Amino acid sequence: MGKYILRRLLAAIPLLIIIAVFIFFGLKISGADPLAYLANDPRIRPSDRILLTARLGLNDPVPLQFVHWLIGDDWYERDVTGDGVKDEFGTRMGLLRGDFGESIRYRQPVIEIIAQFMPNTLLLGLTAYIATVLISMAVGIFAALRQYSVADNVITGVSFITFSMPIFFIALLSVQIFSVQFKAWHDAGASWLPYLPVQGMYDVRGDRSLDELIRHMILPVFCLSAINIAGYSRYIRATMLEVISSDYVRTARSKGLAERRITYLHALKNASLPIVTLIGLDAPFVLAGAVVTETIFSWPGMGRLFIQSLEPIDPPIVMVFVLMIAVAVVLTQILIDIIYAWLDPRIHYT
Amino acid sequence: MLGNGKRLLSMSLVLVFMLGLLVSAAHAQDETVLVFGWEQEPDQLGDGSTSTFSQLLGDFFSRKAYGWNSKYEALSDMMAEIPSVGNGMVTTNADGNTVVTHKLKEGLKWSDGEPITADDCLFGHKLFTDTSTGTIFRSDYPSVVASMEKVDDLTIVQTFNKAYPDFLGSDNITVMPQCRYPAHVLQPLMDANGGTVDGLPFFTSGEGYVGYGPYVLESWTKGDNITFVVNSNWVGQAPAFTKVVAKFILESAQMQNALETGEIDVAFNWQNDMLAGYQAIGEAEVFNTAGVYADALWFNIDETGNNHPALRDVLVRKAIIQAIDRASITTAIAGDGVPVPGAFDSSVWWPDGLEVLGYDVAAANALLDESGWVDSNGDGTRDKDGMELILKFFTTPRQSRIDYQLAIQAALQEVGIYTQIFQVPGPAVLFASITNRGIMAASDYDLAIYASSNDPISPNVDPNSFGCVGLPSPENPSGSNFSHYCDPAFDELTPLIAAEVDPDKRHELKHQSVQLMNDAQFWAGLYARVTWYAVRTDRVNTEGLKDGLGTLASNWFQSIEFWTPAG
Amino acid sequence: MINMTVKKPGAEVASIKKKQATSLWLLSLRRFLKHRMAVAGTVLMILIILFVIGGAFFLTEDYSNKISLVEKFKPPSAAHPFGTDGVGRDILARAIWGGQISLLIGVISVTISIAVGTVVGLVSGFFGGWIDSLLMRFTEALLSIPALVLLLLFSRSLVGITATINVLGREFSSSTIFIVLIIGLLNWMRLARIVRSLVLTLKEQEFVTAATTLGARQGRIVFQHVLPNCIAPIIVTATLGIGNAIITEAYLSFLGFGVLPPTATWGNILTGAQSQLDEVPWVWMFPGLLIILTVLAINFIGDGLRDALDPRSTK
Repeated sequence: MGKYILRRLLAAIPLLIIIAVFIFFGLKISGADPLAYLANDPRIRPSDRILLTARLGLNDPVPLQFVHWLIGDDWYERDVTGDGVKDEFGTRMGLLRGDFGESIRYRQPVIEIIAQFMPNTLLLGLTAYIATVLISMAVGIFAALRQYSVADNVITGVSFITFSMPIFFIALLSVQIFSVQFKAWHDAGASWLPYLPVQGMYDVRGDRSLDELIRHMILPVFCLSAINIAGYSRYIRATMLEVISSDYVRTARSKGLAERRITYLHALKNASLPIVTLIGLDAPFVLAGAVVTETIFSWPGMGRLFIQSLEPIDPPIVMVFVLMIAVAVVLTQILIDIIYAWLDPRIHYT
Repeated sequence: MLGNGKRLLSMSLVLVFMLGLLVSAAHAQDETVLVFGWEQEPDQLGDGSTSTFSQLLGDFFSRKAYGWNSKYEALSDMMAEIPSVGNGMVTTNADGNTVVTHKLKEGLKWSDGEPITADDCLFGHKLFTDTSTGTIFRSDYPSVVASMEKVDDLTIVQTFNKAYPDFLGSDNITVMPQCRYPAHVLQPLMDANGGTVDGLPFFTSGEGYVGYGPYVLESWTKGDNITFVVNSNWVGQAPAFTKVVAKFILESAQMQNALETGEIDVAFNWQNDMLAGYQAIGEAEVFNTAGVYADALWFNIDETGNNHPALRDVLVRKAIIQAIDRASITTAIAGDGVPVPGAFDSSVWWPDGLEVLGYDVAAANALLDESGWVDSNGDGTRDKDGMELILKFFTTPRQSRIDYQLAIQAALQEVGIYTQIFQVPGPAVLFASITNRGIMAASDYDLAIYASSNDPISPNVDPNSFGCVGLPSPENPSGSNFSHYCDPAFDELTPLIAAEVDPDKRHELKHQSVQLMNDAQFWAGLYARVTWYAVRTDRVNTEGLKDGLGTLASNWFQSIEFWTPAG
Repeated sequence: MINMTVKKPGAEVASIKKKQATSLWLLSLRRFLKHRMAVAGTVLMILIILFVIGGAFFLTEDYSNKISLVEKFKPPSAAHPFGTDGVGRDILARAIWGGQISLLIGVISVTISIAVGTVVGLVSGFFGGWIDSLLMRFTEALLSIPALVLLLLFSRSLVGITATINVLGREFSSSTIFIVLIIGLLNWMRLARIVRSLVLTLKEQEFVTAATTLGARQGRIVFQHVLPNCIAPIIVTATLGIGNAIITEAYLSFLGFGVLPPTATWGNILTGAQSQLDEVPWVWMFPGLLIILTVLAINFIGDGLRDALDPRSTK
């Protein structure tokens, strides 16, 4: 097993290299100038911009910039004053030497920035993801057991409708109803009516309590789950149907096992493999945060960091962001394979 | 999943623990909090940032040596007197260079209690003249300030390297003494950081920030908010709000919702199209202040570029301006009472009787006929020598600009001018340098709508934007004269204006310059961008609030200490 | 790697003779018609297509782009059944013409992703070896980055490239083409893997082995024997992909990276009202409803097709 994991990890290295090259050169080819935001600002003198461009190494040949990103530029002397004389060494150590780079806009180590945003994304994303999986398991199994009943049709219909809505539409509408309108009714006399906050993680005037945090999480979690529950529950329903109709469940049934026990013990055990696969494919993307939801709800997470790092473009953040998710994908895949072996004793890895 | 579950569990435990702590701590109810909705998070603090939203925060906790009120009169929270020729603090030395004396107020203290002295200004001088101290946007300071000497603990003398009438600087020019950084805190930090300010947590995360302002930084939660509390060492007006929070809300509809539900107390700088929504909020008082930004229609008058040759004819440019009913379009899109600016420069610099072209379709048609552009093939678009009058019309993807673009397209169609419209990202594409395939730098456009700011404090002209030296080319990639306006007569005036010490003569020169630019007709104002505010009257006393707001590019909250709670 | 969405059609399908194949399609059709939601979806889709194509005969595209500042934000009336937007354009006309673009974005981008996905999957599965490794590493690389992140990165880079595009006498904002390309070129990966694993399964079966032994050319084998067996998953993926592309376009519009004016799409009409949800509900309600109905119809059809085309599905 250990050998297998090691082999998988080694195999992931070319994958990560492909991704890094792809994104790095993609950003360069698109002509994205990280200092473009300084253009057309009357307070910025060309001299300041020229100096900064040189210092950041943006004048170096592009392949060399990639090398600098990878192994650092502290060995490379460049001309920053524009007089043709090399006068300053770089200060970066490079990714392979543990330096994940420094954000161009925030002038802060990328790793520090990500460390500030990641916990918030995990909190929101994992809550929403766990809610999605649990609810869709319940809904999917229920619908499968009562295939083509009224309940099944209603569940299918509702899940398809939410699945067909753009998330920002759900988000803005739900804020309009549950925050703005409910608050208006609350203030107008219906003081029993609770209302939800519009944005943020905590109230500025609040006490930063757990209760407050939960209230702030309801709408974003609802939005994130709403669009995913549909897809997941359909998938679980289909998997369950397949398992229920398969031979061994029929055998178990003919042996006289109670219907409920058959479902939960046999079917679920066997349906869990595809479900684990689905989770394995999607779970690492929780790290990427939710671009739209976090933007709308002012949630200080990774998705919002990413969209803010696009305009103006901040390549060091974008690079680490993408690679981090790729690493998570690779690790999850290995983890999933291990879980397979545990769930299905017939699978062996050597 | 197990690991994730554990993490969530531990996170919940931490939260429960925090809850316990907070509940046990008695609530400080005497706290008066003021919450701003802040649409853009500062990238960092201090002069390493160019973000307007970072500059705006500066007035809370790090005041500059001088500022300007809404009548454009200089004021200062730091200096005992405003230097002028009249009070003898501004003189000319034997070489004809300007020499300015600055006197710090007595008894000023940094937020850590240490006194503010001339040494701090000397430290700032070093930061702004020595580029090895790191990446700071130094403006004109290093190129015009020759030296700074300390006279006594509170007095410094700044010597320029030429006759320099803008000795206090202006909205766009920084030359004033830089006394806003505490030498006793920053110098040791820099020494430990290889002599530079780059990457110092002091600026990047506000760690241990010491400044001079009515408030002092309490915390900065990245992505969420930045919080300030009253600075007990501030000697000016004591702020009535004990805490000020800038809550970062990026989405404009959510900003309005947050104000409506009372999660924030002030929303500002929102766009005109949000006006109806904010006015519908019962508790909010909505008003605007003048600003220095204006959106305008710019012409590319390049004599040699890829632009349409028709635009090289001033008659065609006049016709285009007269074909557009700017006043009506502005009323419809930007709202009632939003002014249409007449010239690029602030009206304080206009000569008497400056002619501003109005809406006159008949005149526009006559001018186009006169210049030889007629619809000879009957396809609805004017042409000349087999060339159709089809213009490439750019703007950035901002709703109000797109609306203007569509309205102008329709208006020009009426006089037989066809426009192809494009929306491209401003900094990354439209304004990008020639080496980064910038559309305007490559002269690959005919018309463009974008905003620029004027400077009511200084009449200086930036030759890089309006002079022949600023024409962008592969040899001059930093040139930003995107209209390609190159007039030797205008260029001759530019250095004269920059060096004229006599205010009256300076005005006279500036009038000539404004007139020349106006005659060239490559700029048509669309709307002056006012700054909108919506303030909750149940939280903030809005009486007289408007008068204290700054009207330059980034000094809006320079009298934040005078804001008072409602009731 | 086990791919769970793959259903192995099995040897029995492959060995059926042509006549039986025809009845298999009929069987599928019958199964599809029994799926009530799929039928409802089909009817709904036909109505929507009638709306965006038929409507164009009554309201011209010029009318849909005609601005009238005095009629800014007028609520629905007889003259403007869907009301007007911020510059007084008729939302009904824009919904019709924008609907064509939205549907086109869906169809064309899916065509691109199906083409790329099928080719990559076939080539990879059939030839194996280093070609397979290279293509699959690249596929995995793209799959390891969240789709929206990739979309944003690329649309951010491409919007700057400007050109006027005139297709069949209609003028398009060049951004339309880029959005189609980006959505198309970033959505083929899952299909490629499905096709590849199908090919791998089929390769082992007697008829392909037999054909190879008989000396058939590789290209012939691919087109005559392997490709037809991949049609079911391709059709299902394509159908669902159209809905996905339409929603993706709306997302990009919301984030400011979508199709730009004058070209209308449901996505950009919808986001034009983003800041004024409660003041001008008609601006977002109609395009929003159209997006939801369309995607809903497509998803129902896709679900029906999945059930109908899957030979193992029993009911």
